[in-house]
Amino acid sequence: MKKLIVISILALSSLAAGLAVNAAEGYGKQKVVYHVNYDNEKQQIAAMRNIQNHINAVGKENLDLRVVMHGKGYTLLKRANDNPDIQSKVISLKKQGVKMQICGNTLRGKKISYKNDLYDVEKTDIVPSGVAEIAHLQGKGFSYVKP
Amino acid sequence: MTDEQKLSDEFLNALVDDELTPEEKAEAYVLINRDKALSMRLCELRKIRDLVKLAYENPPAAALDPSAPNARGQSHHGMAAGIASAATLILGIVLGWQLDSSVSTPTQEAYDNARAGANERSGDSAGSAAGHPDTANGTLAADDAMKILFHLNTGDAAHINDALNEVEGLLKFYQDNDQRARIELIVNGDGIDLLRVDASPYPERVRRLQKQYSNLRFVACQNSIDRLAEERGLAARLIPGTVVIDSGVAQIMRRQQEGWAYIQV
Repeated sequence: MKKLIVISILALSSLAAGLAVNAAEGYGKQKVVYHVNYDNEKQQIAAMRNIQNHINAVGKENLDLRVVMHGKGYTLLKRANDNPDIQSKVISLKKQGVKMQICGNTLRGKKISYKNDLYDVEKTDIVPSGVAEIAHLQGKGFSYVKP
Repeated sequence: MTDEQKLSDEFLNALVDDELTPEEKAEAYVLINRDKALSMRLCELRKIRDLVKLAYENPPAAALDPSAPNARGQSHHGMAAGIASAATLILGIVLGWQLDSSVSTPTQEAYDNARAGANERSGDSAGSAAGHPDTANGTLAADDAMKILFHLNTGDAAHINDALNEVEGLLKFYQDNDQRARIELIVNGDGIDLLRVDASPYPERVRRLQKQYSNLRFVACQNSIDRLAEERGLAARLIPGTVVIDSGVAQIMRRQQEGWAYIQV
C-alpha cells in the first residue's frame, strides 16, 4: 500500500512537472487565421498592428499565423505597392513567418493580376476560395480572428 | 406587488426562468414594453441564461484520470497496481499531447483535393465518387459535410450584398467541387433587416438562394426580433423559411462547439 502511494505521488508529481514546463512556455503553440475582407485602409493597418502584437506576445517560433484576404481585402496588397507604411509592415510580418494568402476567386472576379497589381504575391500564396480556406483552417484547429 | 418588486433582478430572473403566474407575466410585459431600460435588462438576463445553459449542456471533456479507481480497487497488489496507474497516467498524458496536435479528417482531405484540383480547373472531378454516390473516400456522408456559420450583424445594404456574395460564392465552390456542406447565415442586430419581408434590401435573392441551395439556412435571432419590437415598435415579419433561434450569440457558441467554422461577414 505504501509503495502504491509513493508511486502514485511520483506519477502525480511528474505530471505536475510537465504542466509546469507547459506553463513556463507562456501561451504555447498557436495556430491562427486572420480574416481581412474590407477595404478600409486604417482597419487594414490596425489588423497588421494586431498581428504584430500577437507575434510579440506568443513568439514567432510558436505561431502558425495566416492572413486570408478576399473580397475587398485584396486592396491591402495593392496598397503595399506604393504605401511605404503598409509595405514595410507586410515585409516585416512575412519575415516573421506570417503567410499572406489571397483568394483566387477574388482575383478572377475582379480581374486582378497577382504579378502586376499586388505586392510580392507568388502563385503559392493563392488559395482557391478565401472563405473555404478559412473554414478549412478552422477544421484543422486554427483560431479565427477578424480584426 | 409593488413597482420596485417588478423591477428587481429577482423578478426579471423569475420571468426569464418562467417561474411566474400568467397574471404576473402579463403585468410584467406591460411594464417592460413601456420601459426601454427594463427591456434591455431582460434581454441581458436572457442572454446570460442562454450562456449558462449552454455551458452546462456542453461541459468540456473532463481530464479524468482513468487510473484512480484501479489504484484503490487493487490495493493488495500495490506494486502492480502502482505500475499500472503510472502507465495509465503516462498514457493519459501522451494521449493528451496527441489530441493537441492536429488531426486530419476526411473533410479536410476532400478540401485538399479540391485545393489541388481547383487551380488546374480540370473539367470532371467525379472519378472517385462514381460507384458510391453517398460516400466520399469511403467515409460516411454524415461526417463528410463542411459546416460553416456566417454571421451578419449590420443592416447596411452594400455590406449585406457582400455577405450574400460570400455565402453564394462558397455554396457554389463546394458544389463545383462535389464537397458536401451545410451553411447557415445567422443574422442579429440590424442584420435582421435582411430577412424582414418589408425591410429586406434583397428579398428575391434570399428566396432564390433558399430554392437553389437546400443546404443553406437563414437564421434569425429572437432577441433581435424582441428588440425590434421594444425599441422601434415593429413586428418582424420574416421571409418564409427563416429559422428563428433564441439567441444569436449563443447559437454562434453552440455551433463552434459542434465543430462548425465561424466566419464574420
